Amino acid sequence: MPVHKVIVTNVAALKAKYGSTYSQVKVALATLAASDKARGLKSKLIAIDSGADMKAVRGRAVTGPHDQRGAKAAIDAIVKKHEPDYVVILGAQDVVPHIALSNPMADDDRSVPSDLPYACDVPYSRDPARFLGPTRVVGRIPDEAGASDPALLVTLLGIAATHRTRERSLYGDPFALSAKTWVKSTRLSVETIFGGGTKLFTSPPHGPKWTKAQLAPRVHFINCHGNTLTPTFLGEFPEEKYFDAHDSAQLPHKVSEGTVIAAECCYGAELYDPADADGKPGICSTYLREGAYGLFGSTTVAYGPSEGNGQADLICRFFIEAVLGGSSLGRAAAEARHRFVSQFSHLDPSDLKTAAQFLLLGDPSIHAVAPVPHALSRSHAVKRALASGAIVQGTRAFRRERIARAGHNLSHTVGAAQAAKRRAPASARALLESVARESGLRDVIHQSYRVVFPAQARATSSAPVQASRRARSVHLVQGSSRTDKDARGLPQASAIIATLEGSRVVHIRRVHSR
Amino acid sequence: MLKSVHMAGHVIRKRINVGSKSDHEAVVLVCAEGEFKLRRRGGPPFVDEALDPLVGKRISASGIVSAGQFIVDDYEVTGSA
Repeated sequence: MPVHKVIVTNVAALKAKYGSTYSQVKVALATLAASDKARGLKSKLIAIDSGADMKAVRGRAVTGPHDQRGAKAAIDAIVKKHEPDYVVILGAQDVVPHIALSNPMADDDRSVPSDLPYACDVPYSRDPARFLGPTRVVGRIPDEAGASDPALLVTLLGIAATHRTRERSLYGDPFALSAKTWVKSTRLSVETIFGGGTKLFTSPPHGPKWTKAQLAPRVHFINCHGNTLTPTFLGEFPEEKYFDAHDSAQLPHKVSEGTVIAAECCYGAELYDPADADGKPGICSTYLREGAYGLFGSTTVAYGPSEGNGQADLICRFFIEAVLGGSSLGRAAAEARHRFVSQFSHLDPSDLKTAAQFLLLGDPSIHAVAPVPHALSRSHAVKRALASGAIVQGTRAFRRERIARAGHNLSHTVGAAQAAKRRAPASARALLESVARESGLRDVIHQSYRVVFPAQARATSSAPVQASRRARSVHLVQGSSRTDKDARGLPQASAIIATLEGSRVVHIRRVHSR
Repeated sequence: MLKSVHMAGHVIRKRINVGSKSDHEAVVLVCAEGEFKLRRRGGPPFVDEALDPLVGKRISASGIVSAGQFIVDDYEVTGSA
């Protein structure tokens, strides 16, 4: 029988954290395996620190919990051997590391901790542009970083084992929350997903003491500020006045079982040791402990416009739309990445960081929402055929084939900006500076990038297209605007991004500051 | 748990993470190890007015570093920048 779901972990790291109480994790894993079997999924636990386990997949054991290159190679070997439908990474980054990708933006993040490379069938690299086409369905069931008590992990495994799929109607109106400064952008997101008139809370004045009724909806869509080692998400209004909007301490006993969260916030999916935040756990792990099935969020500083939708808005919206359409949480994450990347001929640095930084926390095999079946599947003939085995459902295999095809297509065709030591041509630089001045930017920083396309894209493109791509470059002026303000007195812009072909500007956009 | 470190340098005010969802004016320590946004452990994560008097001063501080931020447990003003 093929393995449908591999659960990948570092057993030595778990034992080092939990000692004799690791036995509780083993029991919880056995319960999850039994639950998976009952729904037709054969799951298999593979220890990437085990020489025997890795030999069985023709791989090598990792040297320790921080061995990123080894973990990537180990998971590649496991996937090559078993071709599973789902890859579950078990544990926080002190058990199975994130891959620290290079940060394409000039912000304060030293790197972009990412699970995206585990979803791609290309070798280890720190270059995020190598990972534009995920072909695997991957999610992480975390434990508490730095913990010595496995309670969180045992709880999350239990939630995965007892989860149930619900009708779409039970994932109706969301709990939607926005920093007030970003309300136009958030309203566009939630109305695109849920329709006009969707209730949207803003901070200020709302939060963080939400009632159980307010948090009851099973979709939470959150567009607030977040920060590293911080148990709160924050609202903002007026400019640079921050308010607690959401607090991990306010979540217990209020989150509905089965909730799915998309958090656009900076560091919304950062798995930190609560000891580094005065003992206060992060919102992401608290949501999961309280019964949420999955959270899609960012490990680092995220991007998006204050009006309209871009970057974090889009990838989060695509994730929720896929979940509501009946995708498993893992497939929803893969499809969100595909939809996001496929919008572009090439990804500029902020888009590239967005693609790399968002990840799924939760069991990727969970279908929170039931897909709407075709009427034919309710016919007596089809029901009889399914019961007798005359029809063996192969639709998941078809979906994986499609995921792999979409991923390969993207990785073979989409270009990405790579930092380069070059200056924009004088005319373009003058234009950028002129637009920056008109936009009221100050403290500006110039950055330049070349645009690199995969070799396959070059081979299959016409000569004129190849020439156009070869001449392409991206130039940014980043700065802050405190002079050009909208009717609410909010800053209008903070970055101008121009795409050039040769010395000709072919595209220019203004990214609004959050 | 992150290891506690000790750093010393001068303090400036600077916009950080420009253009991102975390774009804000921060109090930043400039030291031999680089530039780090200053936070007090348990203090407001974005704007902490208690740190404003440090701007223009030299300080010596202990705390933890995460994502380009120096979250200090204690600090001492050692002079003017």
